[in-house]
Amino acid sequence: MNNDIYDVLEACLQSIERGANIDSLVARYPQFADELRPLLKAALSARAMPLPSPSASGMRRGRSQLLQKAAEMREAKSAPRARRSVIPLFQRLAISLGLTTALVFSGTGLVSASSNALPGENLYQVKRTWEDVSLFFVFDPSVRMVRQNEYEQERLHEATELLAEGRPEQISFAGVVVEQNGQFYISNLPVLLTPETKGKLENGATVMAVGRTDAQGFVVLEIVEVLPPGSIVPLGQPVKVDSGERDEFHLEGKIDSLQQSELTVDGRVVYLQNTTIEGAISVGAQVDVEGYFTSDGKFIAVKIEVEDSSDGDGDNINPSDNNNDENSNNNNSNDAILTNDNSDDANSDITGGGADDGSSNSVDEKKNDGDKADDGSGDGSLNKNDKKNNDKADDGSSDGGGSSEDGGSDSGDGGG
Amino acid sequence: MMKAQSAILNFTFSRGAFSSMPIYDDHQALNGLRDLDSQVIGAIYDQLYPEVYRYVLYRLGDQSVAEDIASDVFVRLLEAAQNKRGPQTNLKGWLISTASHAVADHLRRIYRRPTEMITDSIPDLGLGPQNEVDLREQNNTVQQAYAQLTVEQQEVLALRFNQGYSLEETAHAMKKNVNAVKALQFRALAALQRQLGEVDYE
Repeated sequence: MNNDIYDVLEACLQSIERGANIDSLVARYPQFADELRPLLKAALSARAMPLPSPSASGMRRGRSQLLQKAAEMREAKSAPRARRSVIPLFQRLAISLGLTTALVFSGTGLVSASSNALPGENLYQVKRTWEDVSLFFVFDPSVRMVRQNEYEQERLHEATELLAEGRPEQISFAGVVVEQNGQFYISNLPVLLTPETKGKLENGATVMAVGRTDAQGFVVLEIVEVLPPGSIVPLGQPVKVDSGERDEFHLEGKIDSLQQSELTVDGRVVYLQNTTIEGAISVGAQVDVEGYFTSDGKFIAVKIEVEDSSDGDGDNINPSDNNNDENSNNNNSNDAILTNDNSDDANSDITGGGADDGSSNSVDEKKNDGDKADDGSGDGSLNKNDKKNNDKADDGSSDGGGSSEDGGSDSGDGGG
Repeated sequence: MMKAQSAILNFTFSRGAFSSMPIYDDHQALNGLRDLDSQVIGAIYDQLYPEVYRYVLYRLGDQSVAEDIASDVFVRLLEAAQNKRGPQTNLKGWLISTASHAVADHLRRIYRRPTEMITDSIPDLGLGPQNEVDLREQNNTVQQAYAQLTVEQQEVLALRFNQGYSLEETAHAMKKNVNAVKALQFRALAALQRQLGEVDYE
């Protein structure tokens, strides 16, 4: 009897699956009608239990967790077996500590071992510890700020590499929020907000962000904190500033105004991007700016040196001034660009000029310093273009006079 | 910089295109799992996560717990595949059965629940008697009635009515014989009906 009702129920459940209704089924088994009806009703309720669909954010989170796990396992698989199994976890900590100590005492040679480490890798802790250690020994606040800025920049590098590899790791970085077609970027890294993200993104805000890189090339944000106004953050040029490949220019002058990502030096807007700042910049400070032009004519500072206010503050020569025909040799599309120190022509010129100047050094940087010294007496401002013009007017006996003249006549051309 | 960014865009695009492509070839999927191919793993996840999630949600009725457990099941899948303990043929069956174990673990963790007997009243949820009555009257939903069943009763209903397993598939998944499952589902529906408090059940 009991077995009968079990079989009948199973038959009815199969019929329900095919769309039969309760009444017809109960009618088919009148001897079990009383027992069957409530069971079948319960079966219908059990089938129709309302279930909300999975949330997109939950799914995404699970997906990136999973892919991260896969990446870790891949790495563990491909890493030499011996290394992982022979060195137990707690010993690894001791080793990285020991290594860090060794780095502190043995100098920077070994630091390079960890300098390319990315989050999640063994040497990464060494790298970060080294950064902390080196910051610890910096007492000058401005130098400290510069260092910190460099390390922030390094965080961006790491993130870019992780994204390019599609490797999920937790990262933190600072930057400016930019919205483009509904997609947010922080320092040019595409970021995603989830309902779990703590904090909000506002276009233009300067923020500190913590998140995870995912396999799709996004940073899924966990925490966003708005930084106090005036904080200087990297603007997301994830390419190392390589002075060897850019046309560099000098600009000297007084800071007229100062904003988060740009400053005005004697009327010329100078953009800060990966900029190394030596000394405390403030409005009115006399600075020596080293930088380059982007293709759209912006002057990007690579290095800003704050000079003693006792320096001469005469007219300064705008780095974009250019009436030098030799520049047409340069492959640069920017008309405003002055001398291309790195082009062969320019180099040979400069070398020649240097000899005339009495400076034997043909290296660009040194060269400029030499110029600085020479020109300094003339008008207190300098510019690679001076050098160039000097070179051109090779025979000119007085560098100082020559450059100050150039400066005077050129200043109207600025603003390219 | 431009180069780096366009590389990321390309990457995103190709991923997106792939994940919308259905792969439900178990053999191919299992090979990809063993090789830790992240595209295959992503595709398996996209395809089967909703099913696993639905199962766990049915069992537990808590969305965020369901999301966590469902995600965890896929991580276990990776680990099992690496240790050669993974599914041999039926990927989805393996996932649902692993989810079922995870649910049981979860239930054990949150409170001790009788696995055999079921009483008519709501077991101790720390509520007074009149609260208990209120609860039954106000929130007499299927989900709550279901939550009062034993773990086995819950599982048989989830497999049959949520996952649409046949009697034989259910028996296989629960490692029981077919007759035992017939009896179990009968008791499960009877208990559910009692919990739902239908008047026409005498």
